[in-house]
Order: sequence, then structure tokens, then C-alpha cells
Amino acid sequence: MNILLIILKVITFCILAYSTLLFFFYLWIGIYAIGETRRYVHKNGFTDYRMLASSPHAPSISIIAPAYNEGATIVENVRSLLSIYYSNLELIVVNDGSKDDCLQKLIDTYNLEKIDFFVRYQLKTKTVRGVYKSRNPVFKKLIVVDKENGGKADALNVGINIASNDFTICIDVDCILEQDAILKMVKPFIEETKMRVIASGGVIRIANSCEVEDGRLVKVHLPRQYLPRMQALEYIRAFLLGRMAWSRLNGLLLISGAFGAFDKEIVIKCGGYDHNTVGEDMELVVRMRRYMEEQKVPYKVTFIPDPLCWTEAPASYKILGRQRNRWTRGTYETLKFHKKLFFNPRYGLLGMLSYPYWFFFEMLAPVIEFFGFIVFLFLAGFGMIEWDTFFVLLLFVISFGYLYSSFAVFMEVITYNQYKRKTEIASLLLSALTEPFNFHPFVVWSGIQGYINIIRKKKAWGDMTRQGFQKTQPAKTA
Amino acid sequence: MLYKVIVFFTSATILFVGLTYLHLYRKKKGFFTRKSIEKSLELWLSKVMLEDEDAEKPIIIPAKFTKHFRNPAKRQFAINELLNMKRNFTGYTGDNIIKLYLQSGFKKDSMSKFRSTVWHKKAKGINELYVMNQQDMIPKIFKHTNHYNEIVRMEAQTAMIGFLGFEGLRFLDVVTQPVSDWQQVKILEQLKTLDPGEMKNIGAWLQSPNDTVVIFALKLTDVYQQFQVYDEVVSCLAHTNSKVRMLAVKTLVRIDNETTAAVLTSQYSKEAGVNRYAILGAIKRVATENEQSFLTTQLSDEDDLIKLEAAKVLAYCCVDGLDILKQKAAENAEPYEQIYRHVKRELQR
Repeated sequence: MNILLIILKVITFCILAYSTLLFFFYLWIGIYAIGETRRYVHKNGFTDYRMLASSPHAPSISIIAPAYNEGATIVENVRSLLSIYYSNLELIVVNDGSKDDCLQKLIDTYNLEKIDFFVRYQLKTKTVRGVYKSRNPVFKKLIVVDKENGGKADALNVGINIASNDFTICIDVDCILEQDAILKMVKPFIEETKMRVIASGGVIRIANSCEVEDGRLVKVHLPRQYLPRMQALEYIRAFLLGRMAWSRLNGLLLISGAFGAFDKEIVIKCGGYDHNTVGEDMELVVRMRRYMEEQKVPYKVTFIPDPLCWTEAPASYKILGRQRNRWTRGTYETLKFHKKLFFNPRYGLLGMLSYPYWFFFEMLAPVIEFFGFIVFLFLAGFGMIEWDTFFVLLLFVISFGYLYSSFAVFMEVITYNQYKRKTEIASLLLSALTEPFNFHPFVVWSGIQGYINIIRKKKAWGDMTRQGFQKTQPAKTA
Repeated sequence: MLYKVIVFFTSATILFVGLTYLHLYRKKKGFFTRKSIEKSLELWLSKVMLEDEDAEKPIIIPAKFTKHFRNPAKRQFAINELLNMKRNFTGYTGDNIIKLYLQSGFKKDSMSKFRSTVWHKKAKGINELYVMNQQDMIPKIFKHTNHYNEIVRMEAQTAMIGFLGFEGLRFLDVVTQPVSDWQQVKILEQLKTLDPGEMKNIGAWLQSPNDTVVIFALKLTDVYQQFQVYDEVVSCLAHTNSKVRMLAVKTLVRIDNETTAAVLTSQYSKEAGVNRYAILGAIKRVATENEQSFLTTQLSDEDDLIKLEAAKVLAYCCVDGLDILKQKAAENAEPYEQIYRHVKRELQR
């Protein structure tokens, strides 16, 4: 019994130490993000992005949008992307062997013809069946590639092979971009002088309940449904605080697959996206960073706090669970592929801080939380809980969570203030109150299911059914 | 101890919620205050700007605006309005805007910002002074063109161009801090409408110890076709910085002479990777039958992109270039068949 007690004490102590460390990390993230955001906002005041849009000296960009069975929305999505104003731009839509009429719709709408195109397989991919360009010069920026089905990573690699420009922006085709999103994403690549910017990310926001017209966001609303609203809060915390702090430290490991810009030369040298993982976005950034560290070339991964890209968040527990399950597997696979970095001083900050942080506080977090809960049940079952201490610790954790969320909302309001109405802010804050009892346990449970899938060697991406955006109604004429 | 921390967290949460709502309230109040003066200020400004009166005669500022201008926020709002107007007007109207700026004592505000040690205030001060064409500030602003803070430095450089046009580029003689690509795009756009005249110092800039100055000078040479610095551009092909060499290749074909193609083919063997692509991309403008043998050799390179780029130049610049490709495709189907068809399609466009 004594040994069991000692083991339990050790476990309790370890969990407490873990929580304390995590608490300090969050504290650091919150404080450290302030400076970076302030600096960005001040700097932005001196920037005229319109000038970059029309300049022939602006860097050349290839937007790559993979599409799989997107027939219902593809025409509108492509129209939205074609409306982006930037002179040195090409839009590459990669049809990843869709089983629906996605390709035919594009051919019909944009008057496409199959052209003789020599595809350079700099990155190994599935076979390209055809490259299409429009007969109509209005759509001269558009290139549609038809290929055998190979998954998102493979489709992105095909896009990179086809791209003729220096920088690539990889996006989800159903995302809605702000009109100046490309300009803002490109700027970090050309303003840095001391090191090479290899990748840049921007804030992703939740588009549920927002009004969309002709593929453009016309009015922002806080999601009316509970789950998307919780994710809106979660994204504000993650992007406005977490990623800004890591960006300031130049320790960012993840650029969202929904919208990220990359230096094409480095992407190709690194071998492009890896199709052996469901977390191909994170894996690419880690591999690019690792490559630059090994080449001993000074580099930077930047992040900008402007809301640039709007996406639809899962609105049901089933779809959200699949998404979080996949994120857990993606993180696990990426960190496993690059285990050499773990506390490896050769990789500097990447090896000594970024990787260990992700390992302990992102990858292991659901496991430790779940394990902690099991230990708690065990101790409670045997009457070994000091309830006074338990409730104080519980209050401590919950009150810190509330503080962190309220600080994130405050930062959002003083910077970009997307949700203008007081009732929306109140709704966001009230949602935060429910998080520890509903949303967070579900996310942890989805993470655990991700681990179960890893053990069972399940590699499925998971169907991400979307509801579609809310469209504005045309005004009725009298 | 933990109780105290919980109380602290709860209080801080309440504080942030309170601050959030306070900010929303102040923002809304500020919006309405601004709106209340915006319309009358705009109306009055437009009237004053377009009045064709004696330049020496002072502008009478209505009492309500004098009262408004005592409030720093409203004062800054008025300055911003004037700056926006000045950006859109030149000539007599522009002069009237400056007159009003000076008469309202706004220059003092700009000077105070300029003297600030906070970088964004200093940069804002420089911005206001140059938009309002305060030429007496040129010597002081010039000193900031090599400032350690990139934004202050950029605003000072932009100001010099704003004041002096191409003459303002003289900061390139002394700048040791980097001039970012972003700033270069900005300056090139700023210079677009001006007459370049003769760029006397461009040769020296091409030999600057500051690589970013060399890069910018190469861009200026390219855009304004400065033929007189051909030899200096050729020297840049031996630069240690790969980016400088790549840009020198692109610039050389814009100011080419009969030796350029030979210079580039000779450079090709010294380069690797993307710089080789750049040479093949650039040589298309200057290659002749003399380069046929060089280009035919590159068709056998193991890099498919080199093959494609060489094929394009061959087809574009040599009379029987397309026939060479066709023959190559007949001998070794892949990848030459596809390359031949790709190039043929591009030629037909």
C-alpha cells in the first residue's frame, strides 16, 4: 500500500509540475504576444498595400487551390479567387481526381482548353492527366490541372510543380480571402533584410453565420451555433496570442493549411508536402525549418495578425471530433518524423524550445489530461482526495482559463474588432464560461480517439462535410 | 496563497471584461465625435482649399474649429484630414492646404512627433512633414535616412524622394543600413512619374559595399536603362552575393550590346541552380545563332527545367531551333516530345 501511495504521490506531483509549467507558458504567450501585435499595428499604419498590388516590381505569386469533389461550389470559389487584385499572380486549381463534375464545371464556365504543357516533376506526384487554360484572355491568370487522385498533399505538390512564380500561396479552395490578403501575406517576404523568410501565415477566422455574396464576405457575425462560436474564441486565442508570441520568438512550427505562403525554392529543396501524414501543413513547416537549420542559413517563419482568411468551422460534434482526431494524428506523425530535433541543441530554438513545447503541451496534452482524470477517479473512488485542495486547484485552473480567454477577447477588441456588437462580445465571453465543462473535455476526448486511431493504424483523413456559407438575400424591389 | 491567486485571476478577468466594454464604448463615442466634426470640417476645408484669394492673406479659422483643435485627438484627426487632402491635390489647392497646416500650428505637432524617441511617432512626424512639403526640414530628415529603425529610415528615405525626386536618391551614397525589397518597390513606384535625368552616382551605387544598394541600383539601371554603367553591371556578375549576380543578369539584357550573349553564356558555367534558370530566362532577349551550340548542349542537362528553358530560347532565337527540338523529340521521345509540344504551343501564342 505504501508503494502505491508513493506512486500516486509521484504521479500527482508530476501532473502538478506539468500544469505549473503549462501555466507559465500561457502567461508568457499572453504577455509576449502584446509587443508583437502592437509593433505590427504601428508598422501597418505606414503601409500602402494598393501600391504593391499594381506594381510590376511586386514579387510573383502562384496561388494553389486543391479541389476534390467541390463541384457544388467550385465555380463560385474560383470566381472569388480570380477577383483578387494583384498584378503578378497566377491561380492554379488542382482537381485531385474528383468523382463529381468539378472539372467539367470549370471547363464549361471558364471556357477552358487542354494545352500541351511540359510538367516538371520536381516533386514526385501522381500523374497529371491534363493542364487547362482559358481561351478567354480575361481568365489568363487561371490554370486548371487535372490529376489522378492522391490526396491534398499530392495535389499541392502538383501545384508547386506547375507554378512558375517565386512564391506559392497554398489555400483551401472553399476559404474566403480578404481582398488584401495576398498583399499582406507577401510583404514579410520582401521587407526582411537580415534573414530569408521561408513561410508566412495569417489569421484564420470562422465564417459560420457571416454573410457572403459572390464569394466575398460582406458582413461579419459571431457564429450563432455553440460549437462554431467556441471555435471562434479558440481561434482568437490561438492566432492572436499563441502564434504571435511564437512568431516574435521565431519559433513557429505551424502555418495553417487553409492559408499559408511559402518560398517555392525552399519547398522544392525540402521535397514538398509529405503525403504520409494527415498533418502535412505542420510537417512541411517543420521540415523547412529543419532544412534551413541544417544548411545554417538564417531564416524566419512569420505570422501576421490581420484576419485574412475566413473558413467554415465544424458545427456538429461528429465533424469536430473527426477534425480534432486528425489534428492529433497529424501532430503525432510530424513530431515522430522529426524526433531527431527533440532537445537537440544543433537545431537551436527549434530543437530546444519549439519542438519540446509541441511535444509536451500540444501532443501529450490530451493524454496527460485524460490520464489525470483517470487518476482523479481512482483516488476519488478510494476516498484519497483532499476535497478542499481539489476544489481550490480546480478553481485556480478554471479562473486562469477565464482570464486567458477574456484577455484574448480584449486583444481582439483593441486590435481588429471583427465582432462590433456588444451582444456578440458578451456571447463570446459567456461561451468561454462553459468551455471547461463542455467544449474542452470533448476536444480532449477527440484527441484520445486520435491516439486510439494511431494505435489501430487508421490513417483516414475523415470526411469534413460543410454546411455552406450564409448568403445575403438580394434586396426586394417594391 | 492559491486563494489569493484565484482572487487575482478573477479580478483580472473582470478588469479585462470591463476594459473590453470601456474600449467599445470609447470607440463608439470617438466615432460619433469624429462624425460630428468630420462633415463640417470637410465642408470648410473644401471651401478654403478652392478659394482663389490672395496667397498672403491669412485663412480665418472658425471659432468652433479653434475650440476643437484644443483637443489632441480632434487635432490629430484634422491633421490626418489635411494630409489626405494634400496627397490628392497639387498646385494652388495644395499650397492652400499647406498654408492652413502652418496657420493652425500643426507643424508644431509634427515637429514634436519628429523629435520623439518612440519610433512610430518619429516616423509619423517625418511623414507629416514631407507630405506638407516642409523643405526646411530636409537636412534634419536626411540624417534619418540611415536610422537604425527600419520604419523611421524608410519614411525618411521616402521623404527625401518626396522633397527632391531623383535627387533625393543621394541617401544611397551614405546608407549603410539595408534598403529592403519592400522599400525598393515603394521608391520605384514613387519615382514612376518623375523625370530621371542623368543619374550621376549610379556607377558608385553599383559598387557600394551595401549589397541592398547594389541591388537597388541594378533595378534603377534596368527600369531607366542606364547604358553608361554597362561595365559596372558586368562587374556585378562577379559579386559574392548570389542575388546581386542574378539581378545583374536580368539588368544586363536590358542594356545589352553585341557582347552580352557571350558574357552570359560564359557566366552560366560559374553559376548553379536558380541563377542558371535566370540566365536562360534572360538570354532569350539577346541570343543569336552564335548561341545555338551552347543551347543545344543544355538540352542534354539532367535538370528538366534547364532543358525546357534552353528549348524555349533555341526555338525563339535560332532559325532552325524548332527543327532541332523536333529532331531531338524524334530521337528520344521523353521528355523531348513534351518539351517540343510545350514550346511549339508557346511560340504559336
